[in-house]
Amino acid sequence: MSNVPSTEPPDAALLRQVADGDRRALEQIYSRHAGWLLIRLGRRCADPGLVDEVVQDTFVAVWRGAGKYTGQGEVAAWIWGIGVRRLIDALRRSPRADLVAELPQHGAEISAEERVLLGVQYGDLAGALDRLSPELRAVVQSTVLDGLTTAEAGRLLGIPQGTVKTRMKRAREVLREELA
Amino acid sequence: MTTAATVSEVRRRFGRTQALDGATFEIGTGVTGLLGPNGAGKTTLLRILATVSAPDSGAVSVFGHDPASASQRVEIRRRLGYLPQDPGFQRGFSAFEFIDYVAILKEMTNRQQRHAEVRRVIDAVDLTSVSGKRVRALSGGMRRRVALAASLLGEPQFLVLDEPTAGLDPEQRLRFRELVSRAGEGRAVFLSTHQTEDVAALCQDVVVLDKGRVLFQGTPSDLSAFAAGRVWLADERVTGAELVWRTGEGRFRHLGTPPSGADLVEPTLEDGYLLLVGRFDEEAAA
Amino acid sequence: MSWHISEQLVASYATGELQGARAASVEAHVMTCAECRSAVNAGVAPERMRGIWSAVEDEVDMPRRSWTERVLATLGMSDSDARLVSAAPSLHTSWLLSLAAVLVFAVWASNSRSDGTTLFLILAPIVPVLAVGGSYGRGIDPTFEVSVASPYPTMRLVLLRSTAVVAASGFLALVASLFVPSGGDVAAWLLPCLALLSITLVVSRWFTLPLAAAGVAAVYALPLLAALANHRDVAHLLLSASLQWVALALAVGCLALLTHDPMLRSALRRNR
Repeated sequence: MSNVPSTEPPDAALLRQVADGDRRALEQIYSRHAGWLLIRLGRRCADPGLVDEVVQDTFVAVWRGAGKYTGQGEVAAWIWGIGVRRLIDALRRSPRADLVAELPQHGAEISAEERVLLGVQYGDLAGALDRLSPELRAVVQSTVLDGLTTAEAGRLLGIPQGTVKTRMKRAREVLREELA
Repeated sequence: MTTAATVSEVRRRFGRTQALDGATFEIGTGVTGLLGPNGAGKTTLLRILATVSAPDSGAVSVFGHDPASASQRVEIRRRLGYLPQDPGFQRGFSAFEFIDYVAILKEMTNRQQRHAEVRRVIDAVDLTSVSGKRVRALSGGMRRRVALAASLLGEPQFLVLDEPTAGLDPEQRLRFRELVSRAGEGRAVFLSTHQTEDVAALCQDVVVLDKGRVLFQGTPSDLSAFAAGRVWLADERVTGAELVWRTGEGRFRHLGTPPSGADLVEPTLEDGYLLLVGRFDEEAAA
Repeated sequence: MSWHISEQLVASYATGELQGARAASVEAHVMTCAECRSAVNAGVAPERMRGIWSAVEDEVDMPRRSWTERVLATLGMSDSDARLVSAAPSLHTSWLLSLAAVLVFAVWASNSRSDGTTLFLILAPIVPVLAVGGSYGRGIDPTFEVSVASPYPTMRLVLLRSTAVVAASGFLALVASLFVPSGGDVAAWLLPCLALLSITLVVSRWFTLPLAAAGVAAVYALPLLAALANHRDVAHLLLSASLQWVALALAVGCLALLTHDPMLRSALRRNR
C-alpha cells in the first residue's frame, strides 16, 4: 500500500479491465481505494463490523458493475457513491447501529498548515461551516459533500426527510449571513 | 532419488497397431522427460501411467501401488496430476469454474479451501487476469495453461504431462520450465515432449521411446554423449552421413561416421536423440 | 496537485480526531489526489484489508449455479456432487430440447396416424436411454480423461448423473404420454424403459456409456420400426402382458447383477 507511482495505469483504465473480467485489476482498485473508504465510512458509522461488510459489498458491486462507470468524474467519487449508498441500506436494515456523534474539538489551535488546507478547499466557507451547530453541519456534509439526496441524508442521519430540508434551509441562511 | 513409478514389459495393441511393445523403465523423483517421434507410443504410455488406460500385459507400479487393482488405483489417483494431450473443457465454464470442477473431482469438498487452492494454481500459471473468462474463448496456449493449472491442484506427488509446452510461445515456455522445476522438487514429474530444448533445460532423466520400445534411459548428458565424435559441420552436403540438415548459419550439420579431417563439433541432446532414433520426425523438425 | 496533506493531518483524520470542515476538506481532497489517498490508506490495519479482500475474492469467484444445481441442492444433494451432476451434457438445454423434439414428433404421430400410438410406444422408452448415453463417457464428456484419472468414483458419477437425466427425460416422456390418445395403454412403455436402462448400465462395463446406450436403443427400436413399416402387428406385441413380464424380469435381473458388483456398492456408499 505504498505511494502510487506515476507509471501505473490510471483508475479509469483499471476499471475498464475490471469490466473485462480481470481479477488482478480489481485487486489493484481495491488496494487503492478500500483503505480511505473504510475510514470515511467509519466516520459516519460507529460499527466497524458493519463498515467492513459494506466495503466488501461495495467492491463486489464494483466487480459486477464496472461497465456502468461512464468515465464522468473521478473513479474515487464513483466508488464513494456506491459505498455510501450501501451504508445507508445497511443502516436501514439494522437500525441499532449507531452513527458517529460529533466529538467536541480538542481545543487545539488551527495550525498554519491547516489554515492553508482550509483555504485551498473552501476559502471563507470553512470557518463558517465550523461555526455551524453539529446538526446543521451534518446535514450540509451529507448533501453537499457526500453527494446524497435529502431522502438518503435523512436515512443516514436517522432523521425525517422534512427535517433535513428544514436544516438545510437554516444552514444556508446562517452561512449567507456569515459570508455576507 | 527414490523410485516413483516402474514400467515393466508393458504391451498395448490397438487393432493392428502395436502401440507399446515391451516398454521397460523407471521414473524417480525430479523431472523425467519422454522423447520420441510421432506414433512412438508416448501418449499410450502416459495414459497407462495416469491410470486412464490399462496395458494388455506387463506390470506397472506407481508409489508401490498396482493400477490393476481398483482400490490401489484410487490411491494412485489421489497422488496424481494429469494433463492429457487434448484437454477438454465443459461448455460455458470459465477458467475458474473449470479448475474448481476438477478440484471437486479430486475430492476437495470444503468450498473455501477448494477456492483458495484454485486461486493458488491459477496464480502459479499466471492466468489471474483471465480467470473469469470462458475457457473456450481463450487462445490454445492459454487453454493448455488452464488444464496445466488443474493438474497442479493439491500438489500431486506424481505429475504426468502430455506435451505440456505445445502451443506455448517462448516466453510462456520459459515460465513453464520454472514452474515444472519447482514442481519437480521432492516430487516426480513425467512429461512427454517433442522439444529437445525442454528436455535439455529441465530434465534430470530422459527416456527415448520409438515404435513402442525404450531405446534409451539416462541423463541428458549421456544422451548427448551418444553422439560424441559423430557430429560435424561442413559448407556443403557430404554423402555418407546418416542425417544432414542446413543450419541457421548456412552450413550443413552432419550426423554419422565423420570423414577424416571433418570439422567435429560438440554434440547436443538433439544430435544424440536423432542418431538414436535414426531419422527425422516432421513434428520435431529443428 | 502541488499541495498535499501533512502526515500529522492524515493521522488525525484517520483516527477520527479531526473534525468539522477540516475533516471534510481532507475528504474532498482525497477524492482527487492519488498520493494523499495512499497516505490515508496506510491508516488501515493490513490484516483488516486482507480479511475484507479475501471475502471479496470468495464472493467474486463463486461459480454461477445452474438451475439444475439448485434443484439438486434442494433435493438434498451436496454442493459438490450437484456441481458434478449438473455438468452432464444431456442436462443442458440443447439436449433436452432435442429429446423433447423426439417426443413431440411421437405425440404428433400418435394423434395423426393410425399406427401412431405404436410409434410412440417404440420411441418413448429410448428417450431416457439416449439421455443416459449423453450423460457421461468418452466423446460426450469433454473432461472424460481427467475424470477417470481423478479419485472421485466414476461409478458414482455415472449413477448420480444417470438418475438425474432419467428423472428429467422420464418426466418429459410422462408429460408427452398424457397427449397420446388411448389412455392407460400408454403406460406400457414404462417397464420396457426400465429394462433398457438396466441393460445399458450392465453393457457399459464393456463399452463406453454412449456406445452402450446407442447400441441398446438401436437393437430395441430398429427391428420394431422395420416391422412397423412392414405393417406387422407390432402393437399387439408391445401391449402384450408377456412383453411386460419379460421386461420386468430383465430389469430385475440386470439390477441384481449391478448390485452384486463390488465397484457399484462402493460407489453407492457415501464417501465423506
